[in-house]
Amino acid sequence: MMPEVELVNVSKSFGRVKAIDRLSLRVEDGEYFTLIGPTGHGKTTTLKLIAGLVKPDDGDVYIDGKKVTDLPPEDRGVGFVFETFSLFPHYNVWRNTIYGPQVRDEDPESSSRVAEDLLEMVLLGGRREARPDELSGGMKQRVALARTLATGSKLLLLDEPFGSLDAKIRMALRNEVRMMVEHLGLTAIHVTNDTEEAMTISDRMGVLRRGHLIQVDRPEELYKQPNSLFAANFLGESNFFEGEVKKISEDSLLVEIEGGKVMNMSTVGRWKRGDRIVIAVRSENVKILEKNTEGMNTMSGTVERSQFIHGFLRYEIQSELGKNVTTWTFARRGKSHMIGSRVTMSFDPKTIFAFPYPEEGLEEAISFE
Amino acid sequence: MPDINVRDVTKRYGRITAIDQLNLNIRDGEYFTLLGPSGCGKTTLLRSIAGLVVPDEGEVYIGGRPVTELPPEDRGIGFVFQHFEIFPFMTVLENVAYGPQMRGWDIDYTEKRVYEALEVANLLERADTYPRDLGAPGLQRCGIARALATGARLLLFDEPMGSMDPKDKRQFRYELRKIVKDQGLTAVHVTHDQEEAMVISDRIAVMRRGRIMQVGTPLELYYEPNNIFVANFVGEIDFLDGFVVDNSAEGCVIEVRGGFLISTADSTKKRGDRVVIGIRRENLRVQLGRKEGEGRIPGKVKRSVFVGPYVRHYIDLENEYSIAVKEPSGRVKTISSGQEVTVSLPLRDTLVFDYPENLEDEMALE
Amino acid sequence: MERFFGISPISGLPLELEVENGMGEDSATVREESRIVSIERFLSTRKFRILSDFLAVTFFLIVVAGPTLYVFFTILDWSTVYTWVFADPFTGDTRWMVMRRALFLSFQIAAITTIIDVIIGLPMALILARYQFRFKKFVDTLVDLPMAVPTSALGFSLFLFWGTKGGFAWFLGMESGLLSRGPLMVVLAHVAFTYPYIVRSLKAIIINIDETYEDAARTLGASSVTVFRSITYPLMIGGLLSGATLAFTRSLGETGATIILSGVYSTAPVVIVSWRRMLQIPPTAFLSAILVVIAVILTSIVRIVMRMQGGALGKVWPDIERRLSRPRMRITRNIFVVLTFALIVLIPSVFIVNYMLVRFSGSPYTGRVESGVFYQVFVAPDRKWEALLEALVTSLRVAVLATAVNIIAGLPMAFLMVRRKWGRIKSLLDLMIDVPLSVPTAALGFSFFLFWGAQGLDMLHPGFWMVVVVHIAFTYPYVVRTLMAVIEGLDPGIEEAASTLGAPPLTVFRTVTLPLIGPGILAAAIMAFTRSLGETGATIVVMGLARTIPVLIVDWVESLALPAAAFACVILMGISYCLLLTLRYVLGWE
Repeated sequence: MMPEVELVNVSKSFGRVKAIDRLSLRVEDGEYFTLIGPTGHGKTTTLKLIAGLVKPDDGDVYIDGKKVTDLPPEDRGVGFVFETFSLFPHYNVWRNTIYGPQVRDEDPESSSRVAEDLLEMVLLGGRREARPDELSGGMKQRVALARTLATGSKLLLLDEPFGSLDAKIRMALRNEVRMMVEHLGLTAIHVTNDTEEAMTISDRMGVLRRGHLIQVDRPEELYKQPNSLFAANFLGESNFFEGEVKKISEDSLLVEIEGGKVMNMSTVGRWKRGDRIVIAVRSENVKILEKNTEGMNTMSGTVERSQFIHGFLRYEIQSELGKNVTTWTFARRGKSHMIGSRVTMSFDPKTIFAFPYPEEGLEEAISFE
Repeated sequence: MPDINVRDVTKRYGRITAIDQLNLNIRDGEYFTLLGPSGCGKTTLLRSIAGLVVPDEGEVYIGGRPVTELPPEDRGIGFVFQHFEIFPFMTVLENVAYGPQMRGWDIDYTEKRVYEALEVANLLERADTYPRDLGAPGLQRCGIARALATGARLLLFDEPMGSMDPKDKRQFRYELRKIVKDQGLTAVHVTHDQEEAMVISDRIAVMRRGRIMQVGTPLELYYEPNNIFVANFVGEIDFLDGFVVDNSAEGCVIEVRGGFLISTADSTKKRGDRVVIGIRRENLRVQLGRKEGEGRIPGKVKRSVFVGPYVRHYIDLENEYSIAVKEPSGRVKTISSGQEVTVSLPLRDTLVFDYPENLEDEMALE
Repeated sequence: MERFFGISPISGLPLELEVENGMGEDSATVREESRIVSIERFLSTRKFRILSDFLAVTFFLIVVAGPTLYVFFTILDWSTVYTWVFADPFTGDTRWMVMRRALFLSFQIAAITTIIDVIIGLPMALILARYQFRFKKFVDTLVDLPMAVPTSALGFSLFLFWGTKGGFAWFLGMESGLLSRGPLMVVLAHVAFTYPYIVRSLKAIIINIDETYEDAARTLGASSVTVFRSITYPLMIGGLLSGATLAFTRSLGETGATIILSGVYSTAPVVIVSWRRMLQIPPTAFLSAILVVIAVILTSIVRIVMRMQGGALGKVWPDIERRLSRPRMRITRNIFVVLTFALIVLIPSVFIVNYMLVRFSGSPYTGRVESGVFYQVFVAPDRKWEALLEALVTSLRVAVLATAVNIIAGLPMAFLMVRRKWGRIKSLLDLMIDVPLSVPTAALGFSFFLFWGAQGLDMLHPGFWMVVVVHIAFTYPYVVRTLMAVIEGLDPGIEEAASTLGAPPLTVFRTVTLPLIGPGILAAAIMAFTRSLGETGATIVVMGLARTIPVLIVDWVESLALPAAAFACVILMGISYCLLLTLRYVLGWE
């Protein structure tokens, strides 16, 4: 029995700050759902609303089709994992793990067995007597997971669970958590501001900005078809150009961008001639050509900076338009462009997104503030 | 000239040895990073360079001058903190002017230095702001300007991006390196984030348990790690273990579990040696279907994860290893969960290590 | 040349500058600043640091700790003490019997007070720490109110409320007072005046417990009662025990209210005061020594229990605990909290204001002007207002002096206690700092009387200066403890930042530390000032002819000039309450 979660028109304000504004969301049975967005845009509040740790001003929360808006957290049957681990400092690992079953007065024998199995599963079977302050960060979060799962809860809420861990531990632990959720058949709702983490573990994810859920989709679709400039900018690195629609044909759109350059893109959309738009190209979709060629969808420039990021080369290229374009390519040993060299970039018509020019201006539309 | 020499430095806290007989040489004008997991001693090392920690043994030299006994205020360094430590009751300008005033510089020179520092840190417009009105990147810019205004040629960064959002972090690291390089400074930077270290540094020292595991350029660490820990800590990698069955001047052939033979370019290992092979995830090739041959191992795709610029395939190999492969996401997508595939290991980019006494401990990240 | 007002970037203090070109500061200011820095660099050397440490510790030992413990030296003359206490030629061991009875009564009262305090204070602390509601700040201020009422005023107010027909009895329609003077009334007074202390300390402890522990427990299925029992309570048990011990010692040592309310039953501090009045030095010294010993023991207990944490969770009764966690139970609890607070603490404490207003111009029953406040204070031939004015001036002078000396001497001490790594010596100092806090002030005052007076160094005689010295001693722990907490809360990184920017330690202190701990220093000062203003026991013992207001109140109550005493109380309360409000403002309502 896996729970589904539904939020209907939920709002929550703290003082004068609107943390969540009429948010609706449905997370299915057995799904690994992730909420992403910049810090302070309502992710954690949403999670706490589901757990019952925060009461909504307006709207309703359903778990398994049952309205739980007025239910206290202890009766909702949710498991919550905190960024700061929140292991009870006065209990050892074992007592922390068994806490849930104990406060529900469950049969001690069977709950002991469950707790034992869980501690084995998180590879801490041998540290039952340890106090929380004797454990490393990764271990603490493993105990916290075991403690949460020991209640038999099928809905796992994870609030930046890897936020206070080292980068490498983070990568290792997120795979473990994902496997565990799959293995035990849980529903998980995960909050993070790390887009790579989100894309790696989620079945679906939702982008939160300023208390609004602006897009919900599978990672790949979200990445490939962002519905807003913000989403395009938040997930992955993109290059933005302002422009105007020049010509519309059956299967392509010609856009004149800054500097009189004309870009051809293969998604037509609902544009009219003369519309002011912004086009976006992901950095990995900007290709550096072997030969210097002129033509549509190309741009020349000078390599300003090159960086090696675990297996990728990231170039910042001062383009002929005067502004920097970033590109990502897989690194091959011995193949790289020197700083200062002239290159030609090409933009694949199939990978260009177009958005209407935002009223509030481009800067504001992609801002994380 | 601010080159740094750390000689046989040891620092203990009670029964814990934070750094152990450590030697290190940082060159003038270098952007140097200390990288390692929490508790590896990198911060203690940085603080003993700054004088905020006095080592139990050993000497620290800055610019050839022994400074071990010198208090921090007399070392001519700029220290930038993880939690910024901007004086909350002063404006940005007043914060930046603090150092020059401590030195008693005359008003014209102070003003010049302060405005130069503000300009370098891109804070001129916010000079009259109070710290509470700045975001994390703004606060850290102020921290840098404040350190620069003292005329310090050596900047010490203690996890300077540790309290920023991932997005801000990515932006900020470019700014940081640019400032250091444009001003011709020497920088020592502490972080646990290998990605940050790779992008920002000229050279990196990877530390573990109070010792230095390897010092090298980012590419050296990535392509020629000295040991399993460094290989594992920098970049994404999977390991297989086996025995050398053949060796020649060009390299050796290693047999792994399941009888699969893998050729490598490593010629230092002898026949019969027990070894560990490390393969970076983006260096592996995946083909559909089952293919035989040297350097190839068939398996089944467990899960394929789209991560923006690349796709990560988790594959269960036939010989019971689990590995992952990174592929650019632009390629025509044909591989998905459950499919039979063959993974080929590259000849040149396969790393070979002696089998350590305790493999699990060697790979432990904490 | 133009004048320019600004804030100094170095000191953070307002500066008035004369600027020649309208840009930046005058270079004279900069030169001045750099001269100061170079002096500070010189003064930051090891030699001066050791000197300042030495002075701070010496001050503490000679001015505070030494005289407090001096009382032991006088009972070394055991044969005299023995004769006085156990074998008086006329009365035999009567004094010993009195002493035993008084000590026993003091302990009983303190124990009952502490138990009631915890029962009614804990839920209040919980509500203030964990719930958000309207008027929370207001309730918070009200809880602190009895702290502003000097204990002698509080005692008098309580007497009027419980003991006269115009008080609670009037509300019940009774013809005479509900209670008469005696232990019960003393307990009520002690509960009222220790209540703010216990609520405050428990509240601070609960706020310090990371709320996510409680969140975690609730999501694990624990109802709020279970959460309290299994998480909050075990984590706060050390704080609870040490808070309770502190309340116990404060009750044990209270003099002002007790004198007024105890009637024929004497507690130990009251016995000290009365024997001292009769100049019976040896038995007073003996009783004081006993109280000091008890204080040292209790202080040590506080140290030990402070870090305690509870153990395993025993049996859980989910149904019962869940039922107890229901909203209805919460409402019941809230009503209990509000009622007990209002009836036991708040109204009795401020009842005196009502009393004074009703009687301002005359008695409400007989209409006689002579029974009115106005007549008694301003018109009557004994010119009470002159005495009042004189006492007020004395009180303020004592409080100002004691506070100023303590801030100067306490700051280096607080720094030393937080920053130096002296091991054992420091733990001993740490323990000793708290001793004057738990020694009954009457005993403390008496020990000082012996130390400085004719029996000891013979340097001071009962009078104004001796009062000042005693007030310095018993407010010292408040100042040092408050400052220590502030310094401990300071982010060490920010001082490190200043030192890497080139500031020598003393400059770091002046330019960075001081502005940051400024509010803390002010808080410590106000705390010391209010305590000094309200003190009775210690003052009575060493005052000679100088009279402070609390003593005046006791005198007037004893001579039955009740309306005049009420007037003095209200004035004292007014001053204290204003100070307290300032304190809360300084600390940002927290």
